[in-house]
This record gives sequence, structure tokens and C-alpha cells, in this order.
Amino acid sequence: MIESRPGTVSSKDAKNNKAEVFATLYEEHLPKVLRYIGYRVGDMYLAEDMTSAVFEKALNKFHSLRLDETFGAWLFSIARNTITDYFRVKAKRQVVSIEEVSEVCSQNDSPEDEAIRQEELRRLHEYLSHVSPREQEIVSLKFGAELTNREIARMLGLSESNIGVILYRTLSKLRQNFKDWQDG
Amino acid sequence: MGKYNKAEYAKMFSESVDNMLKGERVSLRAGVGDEYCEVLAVAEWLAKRRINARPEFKAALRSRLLSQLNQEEAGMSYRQENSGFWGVLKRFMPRHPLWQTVTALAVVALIGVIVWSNITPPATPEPTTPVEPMQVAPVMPLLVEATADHESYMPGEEITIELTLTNAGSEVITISPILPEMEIISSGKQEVVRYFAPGSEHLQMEAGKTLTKNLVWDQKDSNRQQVPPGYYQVSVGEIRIEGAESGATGTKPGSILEILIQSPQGTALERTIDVNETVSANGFAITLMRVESSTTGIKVYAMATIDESSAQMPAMPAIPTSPMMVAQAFAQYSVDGSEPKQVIGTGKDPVEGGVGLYWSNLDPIPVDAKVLTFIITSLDEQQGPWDFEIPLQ
Repeated sequence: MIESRPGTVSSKDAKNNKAEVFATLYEEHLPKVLRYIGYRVGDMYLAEDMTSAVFEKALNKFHSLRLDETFGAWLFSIARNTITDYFRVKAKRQVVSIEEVSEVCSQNDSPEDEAIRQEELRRLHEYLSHVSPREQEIVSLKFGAELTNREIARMLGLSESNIGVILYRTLSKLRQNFKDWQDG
Repeated sequence: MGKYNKAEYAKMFSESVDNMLKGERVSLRAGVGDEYCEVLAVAEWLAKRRINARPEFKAALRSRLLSQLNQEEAGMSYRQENSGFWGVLKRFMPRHPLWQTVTALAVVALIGVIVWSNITPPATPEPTTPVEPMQVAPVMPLLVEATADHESYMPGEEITIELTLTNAGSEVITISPILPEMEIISSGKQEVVRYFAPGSEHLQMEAGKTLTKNLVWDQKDSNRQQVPPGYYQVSVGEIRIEGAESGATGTKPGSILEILIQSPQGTALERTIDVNETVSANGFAITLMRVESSTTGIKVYAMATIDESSAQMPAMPAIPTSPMMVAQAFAQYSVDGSEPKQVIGTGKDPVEGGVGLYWSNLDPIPVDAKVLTFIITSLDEQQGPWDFEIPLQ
């Protein structure tokens, strides 16, 4: 019997208990996927729609997950591909899920909360726009997806120490504008 | 800078960030320097900006995913039960015991006939004609109809697009994506104002079954702003089809449906303007006869004749002598110098002395609009332009 390492899915689990396994992984990873995509696209509505698309694709491909793959890294590779597709068509259209639009406007959040959430994300995204796409990606994977340097390194094909250096250097660049953004 | 080198700072920094994100306390080592502290402050600011998922979004997505999972499981059970020889046979076996008996006897009789005909030698060999290999019909049995729940809508009213899918074939088919991608396009500007990505569902449809799926558009564009009144096209994307038994695949092309968002009463110009102005270009004279403006948009009526006074005669054989010969009359229009929009008209019932031309589905115009600029750019291969400036007040 293959024992599961933390974050991996055994073939027995995947076959016999798919709903339960997926639900557990969903609860753990949804906030991180949403934050990661939010960092990258800077729009809350869009981030929610793209997060939905990521999980739907993940569910469709769940059977293809290899035993040695951690679910998180695999999920974020789907998220990265989804973001890449978004940027490719960004000039003409904005991706929206098929679900009724009324879902986006929460009846429990006040308009002020909704506006604050959206503005916060917009400012964050604009703040990060001062650095290169690779640096944005690393910051988003670190602070949004909360991946370790090792996981980020494996995803991007870089060394772990390289990721650490880029992360430090990127935030060092950003500190010049930091005071303005903090007060803004 | 401090007493550490760049790599040491980077390693220390990453460990601190990891602790921050776990909610653990971050301690500073002695001698790190002001720059390091400032960079750490940036990290702390970023770590605190953690946008959380709305509970409604989280619950709705979870419910949708579980529903998708249940459908997949149901589909798999159906396939497992109905695959193979016995699975196929089971589908054709009647349920009533009497009919089961009749069917079983018929099968036995058929087997008997086959065995008997194989035992009995044929009297004389009959000439055979070559048999064409059986053609498998392409799997295109899917009928798709897109309709809107109303002919026109007031601004802000929800627009429900109903997609009716019918498997008109004789086998089970799998179709995807459901829903297909859809675009809302401003008819006049031919711009995509809203895009709906394709869904990820694969649906199985029994032969002869019909199902409907709805998309609701709230009249907001991709920036969540109300779109202006006017004509919009709903472009429904293609759907892939696969036959469960034949394995044949095909694609159902997309379709377009046009809808109108009216101007609210009192906000659109509602009058008929008799123009009766003639412009000649490239051997054709076009008389713009009248413009009818209402809350549902503008209709333009014109007439085309040959300008016999012109030195430049239209090329043969493209002189339209009947409405049927004008397939497309391209025009663009703008109100008070706004961005031009496109519209395509057609030939209409003949009017005295010429060929009638007709454009409908121009967007409604504001009640205080001053000038409508209408430029006919071409009539099929005949190039214009024929320019008209129509005072509206």
C-alpha cells in the first residue's frame, strides 16, 4: 500500500474517495489560489472567476495527478497556465464565468466592504507593476500562494537560493515606493 | 549595509517571510542594518494584505464542483453498466416480461434461420456485385437553438439566453463544452463588450433527448458598467460532439442571435424625418427618403438609381435593377460626431424609379440629438461613399 506523503494523493484515495479528497484539498488551497491570481490580475471579480476555472479544470484532470506530485504545486501550475491564457487575450476581452453575475455581488458584504476589497487588490497589483513579470510572479507565488522557495524554484526552473535572492531584491526595489503607497 | 552578505540576507529574509505567512513571530538578528529592516517592513505589509475569499463565492464554487463530480460519477456508472455486448443488449431489451419472452423467442428463431441457411448449400452461386463499404454518417445530429426570452429589453433588465440542445441522432453523444463560450458584441461597433468563457462540463445526451441551458446577462460590460441602449449580438461558440458507439466526432458551429436594449421612454428621439436628399457617386444616385426614429432604434429608407448624367457609369453586370440584386448595403452612422457604428442593409421592395434600400437595427438615439450622419460606403461591389447629414431637430 502506498502511503501518502503530506500534500500528495494516493491512488487508492483518488479512486475510492474522490469527493472527500478533493473537498479537503479545495478548502486548503482555495484561499491561496484566489490570492495568487488576485496579485497577478489585480481585480477581485476576475480573480474569483479565474479561480473557479482553475478548480474546474483541476477536477477534470484529477485522475491525471501523479503520485509523486504535490497537489498544491500541480494546482498552481494550472493556475499559472490560466493566467497566461488570460494575458494572451487581455486586449479584447475579460474572462467571466458562465455563472450568473449576481453571485459576484455579495448580499452580505456592504458596498463599502466590496469597494475596499477591490481597491486593496487594485493597489497591490499596481504596486507590483513596478517590477518585472518574473519578479511579480515570484512575489505572487510567495505572498499569494504561500509556496516555499523550493516549490517556487521547482515550478519556475530556478534554484532555491536564486528564488531567495530575487525575492529579497524585488522587495528592496519596492521599498522606494513603499512609503508613498502606505500613505496613499 | 550590515554584517551579512547578499546570500545570507536573502536566506534570512525568506525564512522570516515564511514565518510571517504562518503567523509566527519574526525576530531580527543583530547587525542586520536599516535596509534589511525596511525590506522586511515591505514584506510585512504584503503579508498583511491577505484578501480572503468571500464565503458566498467559496460555498457556490464548492457546490458547483461537487455537482460536477456527481455528474461525472453518474456518467461513469452509466457507461460501466451499458458497455460491452451485454450492456448494449440490455439497452434494447424490453422490460415487460411478456415482451421479454417474445424477444427471446424471436432471437432463437433468428439464430435458427442463420444456422439453417449455413447448413443448406446454395443451389447455384449467384453473381455478386461489389458491396460498398458502409459509410458512417458524420456525427452532426446535434441541433442547437439560441433564443432570448424577449424581443427587446429595458436597460438593466436581465437578459436570459436559452440554449436548447437536441440530440436528433440515433446514438448517445457526448457534447462539450457546456456552456459554450459566448460573446456579447455591440452590433454597431462590432466590439466584444462582454465575454463568457466556455464551461468545463461534458454532457451525455441520449438519442432524441432535448435539454436547455440558460445564460443570464445583466447588461453589464466587462467593466461591470451598464451598456448603452442599442442592438447587440449574442455569439454562441461551437460545440464538440462525440458519438458514444460510433466514436465519430464532429463540431457544431456557433450561431448568432441579436437582441435590443431599448432606450427608456422619453430618452430616445421618436419621430419620422422626411429627407428626400440625393447624392451621386461612381455612377449611382442614392436618394435618402426618410428616417424613422423610435425607442427601438432607427430605420433608414433610400432608393438607388443610375446617375445617367454621370460620366462614370457603373460597371456591368453589377447594376442593380431589382432588390434581389443588392445583397448587402454597407453603411456607417454617427450622432453628433460620436464614434461611427456599422450597419448592413439590404435591397427592399422596388420603389418607383429605382431600387429600394433599407437599413434597420440602428441603435436608438438620444431625444436631444442634433445631427445624424449616415454614410453609405458600398452597395455590394459598387463603392461609394454616399454621404448624408440629416438634421434631427
